[in-house]
Amino acid sequence: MSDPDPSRPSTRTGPLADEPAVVAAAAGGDRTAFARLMEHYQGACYGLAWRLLGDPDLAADATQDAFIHAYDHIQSYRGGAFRSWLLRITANASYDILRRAQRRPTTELPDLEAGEPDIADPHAASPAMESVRSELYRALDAALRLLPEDQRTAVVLCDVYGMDYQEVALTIQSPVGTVKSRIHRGRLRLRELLADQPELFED
Amino acid sequence: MTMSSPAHPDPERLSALAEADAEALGDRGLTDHVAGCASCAVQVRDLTILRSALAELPDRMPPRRLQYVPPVPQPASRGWRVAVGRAFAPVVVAGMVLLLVGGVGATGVLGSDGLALFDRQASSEGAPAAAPEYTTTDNSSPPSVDLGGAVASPAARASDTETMGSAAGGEKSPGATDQGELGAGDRTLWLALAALGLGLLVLAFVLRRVSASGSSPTGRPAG
Repeated sequence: MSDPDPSRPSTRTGPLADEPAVVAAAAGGDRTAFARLMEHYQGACYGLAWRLLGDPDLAADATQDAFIHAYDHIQSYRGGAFRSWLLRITANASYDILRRAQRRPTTELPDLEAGEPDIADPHAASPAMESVRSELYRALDAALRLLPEDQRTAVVLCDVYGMDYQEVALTIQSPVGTVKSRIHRGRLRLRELLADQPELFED
Repeated sequence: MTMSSPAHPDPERLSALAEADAEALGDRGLTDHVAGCASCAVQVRDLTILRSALAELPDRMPPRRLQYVPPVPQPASRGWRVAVGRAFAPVVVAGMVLLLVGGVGATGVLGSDGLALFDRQASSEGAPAAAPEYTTTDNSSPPSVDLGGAVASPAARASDTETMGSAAGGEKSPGATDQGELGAGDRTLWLALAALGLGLLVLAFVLRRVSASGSSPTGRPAG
């Protein structure tokens, strides 16, 4: 297993070609199979944790916690998309850290520009287009960080990672109506924050 | 339908429409308004694009190497600890028995009288009925007790001599064995047994302590 390289281009992780077999082996106690799954999805899990927590170290901690939880509970996995199952665990681990952090004095989210690697665009057809897309992604992530925490969590879980209202409500332990309201207000606030990025809204 | 102003619907309703929420799509007043209102239509379009862009945000690689699976205990180092744990109780019991038997024997309870008792019993079974008690220390007359060889012979003989001597009125016969030499030999044997028992006890406790202090935690890695 190679060391992760933060500067390495990272895309949305799709399922492994032989994922059902690998998951079955991991559920049967095959540590190598489990490690393969975690290595494959570490970018997805870390990305979610990073967007929820806004701090690279806390995000890595949350991802690590999620891996351990997944290892302990993989036998309770009941099919469906393994990525979604793992992301739900990561969201819970991140939210646990977020709740613990809320009990301590408030700290500002670190500046996105400080030490964060650029994100390569998986859909870019040319270097110029990739550059534009990368800037858009950076702007989106920067805007997400400016949202109030409750709106950011709801928008990230729903719009970035595709959870439905019910899943988000379970994760953040709030009523579905509250979740919907946070998502809608978060989107509207994002649109305001990104008003100076007209290229984003071009067809 | 909640309205933020008499002219336009609540922006949150527009957001719901942007994600094609079934309930919003079924709101005829909302859809009709958006269809006829350029401002609201742009808002819905922007929110739709925004959702698409958010859904495309790529994954990110962690800044440090993560541990994919929790560590497992080393089987080799664990095996002997398990063996020590299992053998502890039997070894302690054996050590205590040896210590007890050796200690009692060395203090003379079994070393003289006890074995003499065995010897006397055996002798009474093997001797002629007409001879109620021995009057001599002739080793050839009564059959000696077979106590398993190593322990039986010298101890039994020494005890026998002593008992028979007292039975004869306390006089030492001319053929009597030297009690002092054999008694010392017996005591050494008992003491050796006691020492062996004590050694087993010490060894068991030392090994247990070493195995307990050497065991490594197998918990989850630090986050």
